[in-house]
Amino acid sequence: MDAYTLGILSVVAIITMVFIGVRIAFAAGVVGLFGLIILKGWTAGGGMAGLTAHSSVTHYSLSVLPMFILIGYLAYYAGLTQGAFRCARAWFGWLPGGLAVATVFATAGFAAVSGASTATAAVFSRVAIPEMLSAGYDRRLAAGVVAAGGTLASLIPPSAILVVYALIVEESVGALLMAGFIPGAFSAVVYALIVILRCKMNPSLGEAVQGLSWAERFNSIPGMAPIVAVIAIILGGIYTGWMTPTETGAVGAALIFFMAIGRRAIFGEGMTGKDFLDSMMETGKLTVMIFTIIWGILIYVRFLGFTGLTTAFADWIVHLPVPPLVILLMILVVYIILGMFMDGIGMLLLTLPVVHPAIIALGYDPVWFGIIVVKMVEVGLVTPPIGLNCFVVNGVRPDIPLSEVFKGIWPFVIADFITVGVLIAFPGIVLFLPEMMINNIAG
Amino acid sequence: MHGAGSAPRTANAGLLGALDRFVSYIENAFTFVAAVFIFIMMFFLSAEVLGRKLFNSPIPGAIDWVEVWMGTFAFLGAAYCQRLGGHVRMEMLIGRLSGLKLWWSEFFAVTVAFIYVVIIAIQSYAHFARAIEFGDSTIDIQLLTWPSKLMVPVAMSLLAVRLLLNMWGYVRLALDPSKDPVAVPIMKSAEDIAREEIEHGLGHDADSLKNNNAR
Repeated sequence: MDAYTLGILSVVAIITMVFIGVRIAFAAGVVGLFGLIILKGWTAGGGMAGLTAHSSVTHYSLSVLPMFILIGYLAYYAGLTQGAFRCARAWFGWLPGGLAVATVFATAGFAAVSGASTATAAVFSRVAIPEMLSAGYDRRLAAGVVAAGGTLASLIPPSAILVVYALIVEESVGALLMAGFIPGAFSAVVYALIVILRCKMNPSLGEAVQGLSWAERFNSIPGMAPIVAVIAIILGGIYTGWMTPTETGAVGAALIFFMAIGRRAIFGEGMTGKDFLDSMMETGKLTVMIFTIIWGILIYVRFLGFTGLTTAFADWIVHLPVPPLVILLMILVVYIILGMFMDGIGMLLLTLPVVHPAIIALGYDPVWFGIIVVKMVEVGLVTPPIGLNCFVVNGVRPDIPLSEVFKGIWPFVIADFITVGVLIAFPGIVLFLPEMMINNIAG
Repeated sequence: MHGAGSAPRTANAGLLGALDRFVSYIENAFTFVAAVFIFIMMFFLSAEVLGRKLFNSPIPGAIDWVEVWMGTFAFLGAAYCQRLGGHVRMEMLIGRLSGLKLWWSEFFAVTVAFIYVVIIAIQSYAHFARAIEFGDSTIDIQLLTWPSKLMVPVAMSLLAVRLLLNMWGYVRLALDPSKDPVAVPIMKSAEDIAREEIEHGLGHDADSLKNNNAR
């Protein structure tokens, strides 16, 4: 059997195994391992796999992952949620549907720092929904905005999924993190505009908050400060070239850690010793989960390199008699469908070794594609049949039926498609910051 | 960004239950070590940045230290993660199975993983042995790399033991589906995962929520 046929068989084997429930890390790893052994023999092929396990992941650039994950787990104890919501309410409350607009920005900020979409939805179901409902807001709008707001976690730094993408396609981690910020902020603005527009046309959905004073606004700023600080440390540190992405993560995590400690010491609330231990163990668990998939996939990528399959696939894609844009849209549709059934990081790692070379061959920028594809993954978090964020909102607020939450989410899914459309039409929105950073550091 | 999580159900189930508990202790200890290194890294790199930017005195070989420590958190928790069902997979098909079909499918899935992990343990041990033999070290400050490389065979051996317990647990259920699951991660529905996320996000508040809902 020639290497090329073996490559095709390997793809079939992985898909079959993933379908019948083999964990992604092991499915990819075992296929890569046996592929290498068949092609190169037990000693050379197996040895290559044994070496890849260690050498491919003990690389400095990957050390940013546990730092970002740690920030996420500590963020719950630093008292960020109430403060963020109060600040957003004070500044945006005067708009039509003001409380919902405030929820968009507060969830976007908290989701970015915590990096966890679903947990953000849980927290803000508790913080924001009661206030919206008691102000007479439409409950679909209230539930939808909370479920959707959490999805902004992956684009605004710190973002673990963008780091994983950068590593697997061998792009600069810094460039991907910079690239995510404007599209993430843009998504939040589009969500807010959708809320404002709907509430303007139908004021019964949610009215503006009356009587907000400037004193209230300025007093609320410290509540948002930690979130802004973490994002600014990461973006600023990387942009200026003062810090590596890992160092920005370490400084951000230390900041949040001391805030949590301080909150406990001064106000007696937040993180207990047990909470801290739990956060540590959870960080360890999520970190090893991501690393195990990465090295499993990289063993497979090693093997794939010998088969010539990726080049052949890219060649085939380029010579299809349809415009590149159509192919791109088809790939994105596949990602939305996959995103409904699979964890985002697992799905990206599984598909990118084959998809990424094809995207490059079609002439698209890999950094830009990373942002688009991560946005797609996030859409999967709110769309049926799984739509985990919607389950979470319904779990915290059993009085809002799941069907109502799903109905409330649609305007935001449409907003997401508009955002993706704009990013495809104007790739400069994505590439502007990373290009400026490269010029800045080079200059 | 959470993998489908599951918790073990360790009823008192004879030898398997006892082994499961014993291995759990080791897994917890390994993951704790990994977590401690993550925490150390946070302080170490923050100190490095402050030293370099404020006092113009960087810590020599900071990158080398980090790369050597990475051996711990990249591998040591793998078995712990498997016990809690934390490694990502797609449950679209297997989530619809039940009874015999489910347990045999699960058995197949962990057996595949077991074979893979055992071979990696052997091959990564060879990689470690070469590092000792040649005295491999890092580029900048010549730290020895073998302790870091040793983490792979050690962690994979523990993961292999965990997978073996999983295999045993699934065969036990396949032979008698009426038994309570022991030493296997339990699959969860979207509602279950949502509930876990809520507990994670809300912490202590989740308890009061449960009470409210129960009322």
